[in-house]
This record gives sequence, structure tokens and C-alpha cells, in this order.
Amino acid sequence: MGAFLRASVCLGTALLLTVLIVTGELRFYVNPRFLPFTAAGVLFLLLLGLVQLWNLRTPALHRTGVIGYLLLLTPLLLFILVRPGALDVSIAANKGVSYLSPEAMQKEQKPLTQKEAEQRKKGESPDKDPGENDEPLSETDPNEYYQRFLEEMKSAPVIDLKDEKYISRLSTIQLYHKKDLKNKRTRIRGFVYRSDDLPEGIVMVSRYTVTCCAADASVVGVFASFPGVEQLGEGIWIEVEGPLKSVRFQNSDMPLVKADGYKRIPAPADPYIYAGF
Amino acid sequence: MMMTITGSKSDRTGINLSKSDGRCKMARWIRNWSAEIGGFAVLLLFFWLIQGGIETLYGLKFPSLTVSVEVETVTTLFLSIFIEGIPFILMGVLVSGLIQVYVREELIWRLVPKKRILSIPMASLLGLLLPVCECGIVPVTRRLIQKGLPPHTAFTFLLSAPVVNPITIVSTYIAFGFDWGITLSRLALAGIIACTMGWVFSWFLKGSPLRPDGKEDENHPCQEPACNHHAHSRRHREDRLGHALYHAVFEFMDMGKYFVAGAMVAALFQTVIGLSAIRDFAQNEWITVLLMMGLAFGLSLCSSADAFVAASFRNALPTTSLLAFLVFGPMMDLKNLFMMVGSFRLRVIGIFFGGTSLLTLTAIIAWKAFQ
Repeated sequence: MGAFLRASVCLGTALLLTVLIVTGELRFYVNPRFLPFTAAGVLFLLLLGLVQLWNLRTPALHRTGVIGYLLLLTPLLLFILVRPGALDVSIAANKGVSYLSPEAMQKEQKPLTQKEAEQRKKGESPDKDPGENDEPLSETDPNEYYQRFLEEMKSAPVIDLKDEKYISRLSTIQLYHKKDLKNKRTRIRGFVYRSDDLPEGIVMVSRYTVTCCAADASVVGVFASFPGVEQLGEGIWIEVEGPLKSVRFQNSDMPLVKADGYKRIPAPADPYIYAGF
Repeated sequence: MMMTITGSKSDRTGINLSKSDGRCKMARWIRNWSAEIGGFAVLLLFFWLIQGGIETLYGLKFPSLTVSVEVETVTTLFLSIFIEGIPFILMGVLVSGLIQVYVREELIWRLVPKKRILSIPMASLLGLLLPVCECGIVPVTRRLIQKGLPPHTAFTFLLSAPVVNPITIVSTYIAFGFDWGITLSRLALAGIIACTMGWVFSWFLKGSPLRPDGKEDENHPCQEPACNHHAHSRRHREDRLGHALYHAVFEFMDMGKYFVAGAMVAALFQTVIGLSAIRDFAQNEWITVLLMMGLAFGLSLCSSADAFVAASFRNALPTTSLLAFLVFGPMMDLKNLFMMVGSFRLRVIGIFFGGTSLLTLTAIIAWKAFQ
């Protein structure tokens, strides 16, 4: 009995992973860049399962116990019984929201002075009141990477916040929404999320970003305001388009899309934004 | 493995061809080949599923329970931790099996310096060469101890490798906006704590740190001294590989059940408490440090991803608490603790938990004073 249970744990888990890979549902759980690891996992589970089948009559080397087998079969049983989907808005408040990217946050803390930048490089915390004669740092140095996106966005008729390089594009918008990209038409897609501290008439058109697996997801997005915003339920996927404005929130200037309306869209096949480094 | 196959083969050739009981012969044939038939059937099933059987299966629409959103969220989070971790646990089990077969105890004795003052710092840097993440590290460490690596050296490796490895270094560096300050602080603190714990273990640990039933494979036939005399013959090597594979099944079961339990508790923690709980307490720096350590413990994130989560708190929390999160999480978390329970004595785990918590706090205080 134990031997069959062990074989079914190995082969069943391999089957679960294969089903997820084939249906593409693996993306609900982990970053697709984990696919090679998952595939290797399937092969190794198959190997272990077959080894166990060959050794059906060999005595067990360790005791696993009923609870052990139950635990090992839990992933399979839960998947079959619950048939879970991607994370939805209900967990967003628990996951934490990153309103600004690290780069934009640095910039928000007033232009860096030369001295502060050096301290920052050494990992020290900046002084509370920097010397008066320190020169402000030139704009180019940390943000050279974003210049490429900025140029592309400036030349495009409408900024489209695509899934591809989403985080970089989002950071660019956050960095330049007050100057170069002011009033530029912008199109964003995401699910509606209202955090408790958001002002009236504004929602966050949000996405989950996933680095490794859904457990490390956090919420990012762009603020939007449009007619009918108050009636819109949380978690609905929408697309909005409008000029890029700016709104004061938590002592920072945040980008805001001021649209004339919204369009409901189906949830995308890739529910999350995956970090790809 | 080899032995059973050859055994069944000799049965097959030895079948008596008495013509009267053809049905009995058939039954015996099936029994003799059952394992091979079973394996072949499973492979066919997989082939069918991959070739589009999935859609047929999905068309059946077996009655799925209607569950609340919370249950669905817990399941998604649980499965995501499970799916992410399982390949690395399997790799850990595989590496452990390979060590069992191919690494001789003499080799470990030759390579590891005798002096603790050399071996402990060396172990803390081993992660740079052998990047095993925290999911795979418990079986590897257990196997290394079984092979005679001194426990204090092995535990230094266990604690430092999830942080002091190339993947974690790069991801921390990126997550904190290309800032070496946090990254280097994290590395240094984790390395120092791991080395200190190594010293603590070398003083306080008497006897084997392994759970009694974790050592039982000393009784396996291939671990007997008589076996080792013939270790050079190739035939024997194959037997040992077969045995190591069969043993890997059990090691996987052993690690897997604790991993599943840990992943389940971590998923519940994420759904019920979550990251946002911390924001209400962000006033007092030292309370946040403690809370972030608790959070790192409960969330059980992968050490290559936790930096991104920590970075999302940059505007809300002081750097000390972020660093506590980054240093403590990879050393001690729920899913890891469950796997340790399956491998090490409770006393050892007590020292692990108490020691790393206290040392993390001390290190953070020292780091703060140093600024």
C-alpha cells in the first residue's frame, strides 16, 4: 500500500505539474521563467515514480505515516477540489502596494546633492540638512536607462503601458510625468483597486507583479479618475485613456490618468506582470 | 533496483511451461511484469495528456466545490509556494543522493580544514560555488553531516548559503534600485551571523544533531562496511546508484511532507495576516524590526524574491527593519523550520531559532550604531 501511495505521490505531482504546464495555468502560480525548473521537476518526479514502481516489493526504507501521505497528496487534492485561479483583488490589501518605484522614490526625496549621492552609494543614510553649497546632481546619472523609454514615449502618439517592460515603463512615467510627459495621452489596463487611503474619485488601475511566485506578488499601477469611477466595483478589469496629470499623495507627486470614461475588458491571459531579469 | 529486476527476470525464464494452466501462466506473467506494465501505462497516460487528452479531461467538468474566495486565495498561494519550491527540493534530494553515492567520506575529511577558524568562514562562502536555495538545502546539509562533515561547518553552510549566493546578491541589488549599501549590509550580516552560529554549535553541540530516525540508513545494506571494500567495481556502483535513487524516493517523501505543511501554514499566514498588518505599527523603529522578523518568518518567501517585497516597504519603514527582514527570512522561516523538524533534533532547532533571532537583533543594533 505504502509503495503505491509513494508512486502515486510522485506520478500524481508530476501529472499536476504537467497539466499546469500544458494548459498554461502555471502562470497563475509562478513566473514563467521557472518553466525549465518545473519541467526538470516533472522529469525527476517521473524518475522517482518509476523507481518506486520497480521496487514495489522492496521493503520501505523509512516510515512515512498516514499523515505524511495525506500531506503529500494535499496539493493534488486541493487542485482538483478547489480549482483555484489567479490571485484576485481580494488579497490586494494584504499584499501591500508599491506606489512608486525605487528610482522614482529617490527622485521624490528632492534632487540629490552630490554629498547625499556619495553617502547613498556607501549605504549611509543621508543627513537631515545637507550643506548649502552642495551642487544638485545632474539629471542623467541614475536614469540613463529610462531615457530610452522616455524618447519612445515622447515620440509615440499615445503612451501604451504594455505588459512587456511594464515596470520600466511605469517607472519612466513616474519619473517624468511632471515635465516631459505632462498631459501626454496614456492608455492603461488593469483591475480596479481602491486602497483605504486613496482620495475620493480616484482608483488605482492595478496589476500584480510577481518575481518568483504568487506568494511574493505586490500591487503596482497608475491612478486614474474618470466619470462613473465611484460606481465601479473593485477587481473589474478596465482600460482607460487620457492625458497624464499629477496628484499629491502621501507627500509625493503621483501620475494620474484623467480619462473621459472607461472600457471594460476581459482579464488578460497573463494575469500578472512578471519580473524578468 | 538492479537486484529486483534481475530477480524477476530469472523468475520469468524459470516459468514452467505446463500447458494445462495457461490462465495461471498469464496471471503469473502479469504479476512478474506488473511494475514494468504499470510504468509503461503511466508513460502512455502522460503522452495522451500532453497530446490533447487534457481538453477531453477538462470537458468532463467534475463537480468542483463552490468555495469562498479566501479558500481559493489560500489554495493559489499554497500551490504557488509548492510549485516554486518543489523543483529545488527535488534537486536537493538529487544532490544529496549523488553525494551519498559518489562522495567518499575520506574526500570530505581531506577537503575540509581541520581548524574551525578556517572551516567555518569557508562554509559561509560555499554558497557562492554551490548555490542551493533554502528549499533544497536541508537534505543536502543532512547528507553532508551523515558523510562526516562536522555539524558546525554544515550548519554555517545551511544558514549562509541562501543569502551568500549569486542569485540573491543580484536580486537584492536590483530590488533596491541598484544600491550596494543594502546588498552588502545584508551579505555581511548574514555571513557574520552564520559564522557565529557555527561557533555556537561547535561549543554547545554534543553528539549527533540528526533526528534518530534520520540516521537509520546506516543500517541499509550498502552502508555496511563489507560493501565499501568493493566500492571500486563498476557493477557495484550501479547497484549503489539504484539504491540511492530508491532512497531518494524516501528522502523526497520525508522532505515533501514537511515542506507541504510549511507551505500551507505560510499561505494561511499570508491570507489572514498579510504584509499590510505591519503598516499600523510603523511608528516605533524597534517594534517594526521585531514585526518584520516575524513577517519574514511567517511569509516564507524565496530568498531570491524577498528583496522585492522588502523594497516595496521602503517608503513606509526604516532601513533597520528592512534589513532585519532580509537577514532573518532566509535563515529562519516556517517552511524551512518544518523541514528541519523532519531532519534534526529538537534541541538543535531550538538553538537555531533562538540563536538566529538573538543574533539578528544584535546585528541590527550594531549596524544601527555603526551608521
